[in-house]
Amino acid sequence: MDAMTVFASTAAAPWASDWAWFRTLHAWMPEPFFQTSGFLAFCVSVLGIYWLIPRRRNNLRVAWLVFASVQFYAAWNAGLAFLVTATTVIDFLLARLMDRLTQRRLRQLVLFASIAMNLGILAYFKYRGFFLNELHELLHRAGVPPGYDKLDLASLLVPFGISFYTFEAISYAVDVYRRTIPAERRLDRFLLFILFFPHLVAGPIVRGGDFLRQARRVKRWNWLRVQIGLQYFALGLFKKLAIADRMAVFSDPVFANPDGFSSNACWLAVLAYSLRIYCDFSGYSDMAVGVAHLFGFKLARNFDMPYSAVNVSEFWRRWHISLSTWLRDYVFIPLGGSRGSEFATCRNLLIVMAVGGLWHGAQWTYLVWGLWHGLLLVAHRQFRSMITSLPVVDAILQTWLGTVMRILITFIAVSLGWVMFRPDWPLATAMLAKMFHIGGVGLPLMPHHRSLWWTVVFVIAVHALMRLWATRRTGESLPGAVVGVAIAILVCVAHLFAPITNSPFIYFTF
Amino acid sequence: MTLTITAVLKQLPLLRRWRRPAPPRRVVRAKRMVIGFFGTLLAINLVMSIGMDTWARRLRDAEYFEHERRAIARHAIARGSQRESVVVFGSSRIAMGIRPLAVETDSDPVIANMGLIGSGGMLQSLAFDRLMQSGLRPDRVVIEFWPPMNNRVFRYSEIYRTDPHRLLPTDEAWIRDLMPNPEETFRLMREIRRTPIWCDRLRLMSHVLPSWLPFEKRFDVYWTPLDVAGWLPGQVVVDDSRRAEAIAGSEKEFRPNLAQFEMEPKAIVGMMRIINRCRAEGIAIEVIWMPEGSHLRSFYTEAVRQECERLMHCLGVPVIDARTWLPDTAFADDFHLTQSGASAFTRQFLDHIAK
Repeated sequence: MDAMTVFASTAAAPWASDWAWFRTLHAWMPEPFFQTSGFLAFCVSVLGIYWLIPRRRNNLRVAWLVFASVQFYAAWNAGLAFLVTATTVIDFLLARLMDRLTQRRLRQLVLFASIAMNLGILAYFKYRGFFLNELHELLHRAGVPPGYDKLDLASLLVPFGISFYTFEAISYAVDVYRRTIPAERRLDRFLLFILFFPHLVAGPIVRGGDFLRQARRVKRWNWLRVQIGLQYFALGLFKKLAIADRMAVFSDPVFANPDGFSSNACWLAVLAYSLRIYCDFSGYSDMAVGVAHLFGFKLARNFDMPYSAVNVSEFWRRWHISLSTWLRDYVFIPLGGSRGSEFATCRNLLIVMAVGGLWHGAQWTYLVWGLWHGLLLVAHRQFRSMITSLPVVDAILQTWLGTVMRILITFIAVSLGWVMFRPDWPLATAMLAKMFHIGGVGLPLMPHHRSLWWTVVFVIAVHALMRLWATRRTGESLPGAVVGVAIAILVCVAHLFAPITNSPFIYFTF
Repeated sequence: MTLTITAVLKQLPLLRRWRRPAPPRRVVRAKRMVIGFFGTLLAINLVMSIGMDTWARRLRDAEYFEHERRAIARHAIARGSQRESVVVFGSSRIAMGIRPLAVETDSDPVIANMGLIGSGGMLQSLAFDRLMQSGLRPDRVVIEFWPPMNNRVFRYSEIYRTDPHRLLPTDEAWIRDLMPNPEETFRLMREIRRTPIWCDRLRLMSHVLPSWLPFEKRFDVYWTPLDVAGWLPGQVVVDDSRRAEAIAGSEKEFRPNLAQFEMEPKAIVGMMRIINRCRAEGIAIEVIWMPEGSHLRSFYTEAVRQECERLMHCLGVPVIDARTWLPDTAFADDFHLTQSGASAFTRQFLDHIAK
C-alpha cells in the first residue's frame, strides 16, 4: 500500500501531479480501491450528478462519466491518467480509420499499428524490467558486460489495470478489423468504454460490442437495477473484507517465510490463499458489477463459483470468465483452436495458458503458473477421451461421491498452482518444498486460526447451497424489505470481520 | 354520490397520481429492498453510536467499566461490614500488583483495584472522574506515580497512547483539561461515532468473537481474567531464563528512557485534579510508587531519581514508597509482579494503610 502511494507521488508526469486539484484528489482517494470511504464519497457524488442530468441529455451523462473516470484514475496518478486517455484517443482514431479503409492490406497495417501501440506501452511499463534484468543476467553469465545496471522491479511504476484496458483496446481493434462491430463514431462513448471507472483498473474485461451499445442507450432510473447493484456491491464487500482480508492474515506470513513454518501450516496457508485470491478478485468484480449497475450499465459476470468446478476445463469456464473468453476468442481460436490434430490442440492450450500466465505479470512464476494450468487442461483432455471407453468408471465419477471427489481433486490442483501465483520464484519453490516435506518442522499457524476453519466451512456451505439453487429460491420469495435488512446486516458483519489492516486488491497490480 | 366525488377529485392535478398504474410488484419489492438496506444500515450505526455512549458503555470501554462494576460491589461490601473502602488507581503494575482477595482479613480495608493498562496520571484522572460520576465515594484513594508512564520522551507514555475510541461524551471536561489536542480528539470521536461498526470493530469483536482476533489486537484480555476485586492475574511463576529475557527487554526499553526523563505536565495536572477533588470531598488520598526490581531501579540516573522523588513529594500528599519492598524473585519482568509477588505486596500494602 505504501509502495503504491509512493508510486503515485513519484508520477511519470510531474507537471500533472503538481496541480493542486490532483493533489487534493490524491489526498481524498490515494488508491482506487472500492472498499474505502474516499471511493464511497466519490461514487455517491458522481452518481448523484449523473442521475440529476436529464435523460434527454444522454451525451452529457456520458461526458460526465468520462470526466469522473479520468478523475478517478488521476486521483492515484494524474500523469498516467493522461497517458491512458491519450492512448484511448489514438485507438479511437485508428479504429475510425480502419473502418473507412477498404483495402485489406491497409486495414491490417492500421490494426497492427493499434496492437503494436497497446502492446508496446504494456511491454514498456510491465515487461521492460523483467526482460532487461533477464538479458542482464544472460549477458553477465556469458561474460559480456551488459553496459547497464539491473533494474529494481519494485520501484518501477506499473499503471493500475494496464493489462485490462490494453486487452479491451486490442479486442475492440480486432472486432472492428473483422467488421464484427462498426467503429464507434463518438469519442466520448469510446472513452467511456475504456475508462469507465468501475472496470478501469481490474476488469472485468469488457467487449466493445457489449459496452458501446449500452453507452448509446438512454437510461432511466430503475429500482431493480439499484437493487441488483447494491446486492452485488454488498456481496463483493463481504467477500473482500470478511473473507479475503481475513485469509490474508493467515497466508501472507507463511508465504513470506515458508521455512519458518511447519508443513501443515504451509498447506493451511495455501488453502487460505486459495480462498483469499478467489474472494479478493471475485469480490472486486462483484463490486465493479454492482457500481456499474447503479449507473445503468451491465458488466459481464466474471466468476461463477469456480471452486465448485468438477474439472480444470470447467474451472476456466467459471474463473475470470472475461479473461478466459478473451483468450479463447483472440488467441486460442486464431491459433486453430481444437479443430486441428490432438497435438495441435494441446499445443494451443499450452500457448494460451502461457499467454494467460504472462498477462498477470512479468515473472517466471506467472509463466509456470500458466503452463501448469495448460498441462492440467491437456491432462484433463486426455483423461476425458480415455474415460469414454470406460463407461463404468465414468458412471462412478458421475455419482455424488464421484462429483465431490472430482471437485476436491480440481481444487487441490488449482491450489497447488496458486503457490506459483506470486512474484517471487525462490519463495514459491521454498513453499512447495516445505509443503511436500512431510513433518517439516517450524511454527504452526497462528493460535487464532479457528476463524480460518469457520470461513472454510462457510464458503463450502455457500457453494453447496448455491449449487442446489436453494438460496435463489429463498431469496426470490422473501419480501424486499427483509432482503434489504439481510444485506445491510451482511455489510455490517463484513465490517466487523475485517482485520485491522486493509490489503490492496491482488488484481490491481495486473 | 360518493363515486361521483371520487371521480371529480381524481381530475385534480395534485391527485393525478392516483390514476397512474401501480408499479409492477418487482419494482415495489426492489424499492423496499433499497429502503430496507439503507434504513437498516443507518439504524444499526445510529443505535450502536448512541448505545455505546449510554446504555452499552461497556462496549466502548469494557476495561474501565468492568473495574467500575467491581469497585461498586467492593464498596458495598465495605459499607455493609463497616470497613474502610479503598480504591487504588494506576497502571498494569497496580492491576497485577494489588490482589486483596488472596490476603485480606475481615478487619482489613476493602480494596478495589482500578488499575488500567497503560494508565499514568492522565488516565487515572479519567477513571477517577468516571467513578465519581457513578456516585461512588470511597474513604481512601491511592494513586500511582511511576515515572516511565509519565515520561513525555518515552514512547509508551500515555500521552501518546490514550485511545479516543474509549472516550465518552461525558468525559468532555477531562478531554478539555488533559488531552493534548482536545479539538482533534472531539473530531476523532465524532468520526468514530459516524460508523461505529467499522471504527469500533476490534472492540466489538473483542466482545463477540475474541478468538477470531490476533492476540495483540484483543481487548478482552484486559478484563476477562479480572477477579472480583479487579485484580488482573500476572504470571504464576517465572523461571530464571524467562526473567533474564524479560529484564534484557526492559533494559533495552527503559534504560535510555529513564536516562532522559522529562515529566509530562498533563500527568501532573491529572494527578492534581484527583488530589484536589479528594480534598474537596474529604476523601483521604495517598500516592504510591510501586515495587521495582533491582535492575530497573539501577536504570534511573541519580539526577532523574532525585527529580522524580521531588516531583512526587511536590504533590503534597502522603507517599507510599514501595520501590524496595519486594525481592527480584517477586517480579515477572522487573516491574510487573507475579501472582505470589502480588499477594506478598498486597499484604504489606494493607498493613501499611492500616497504620
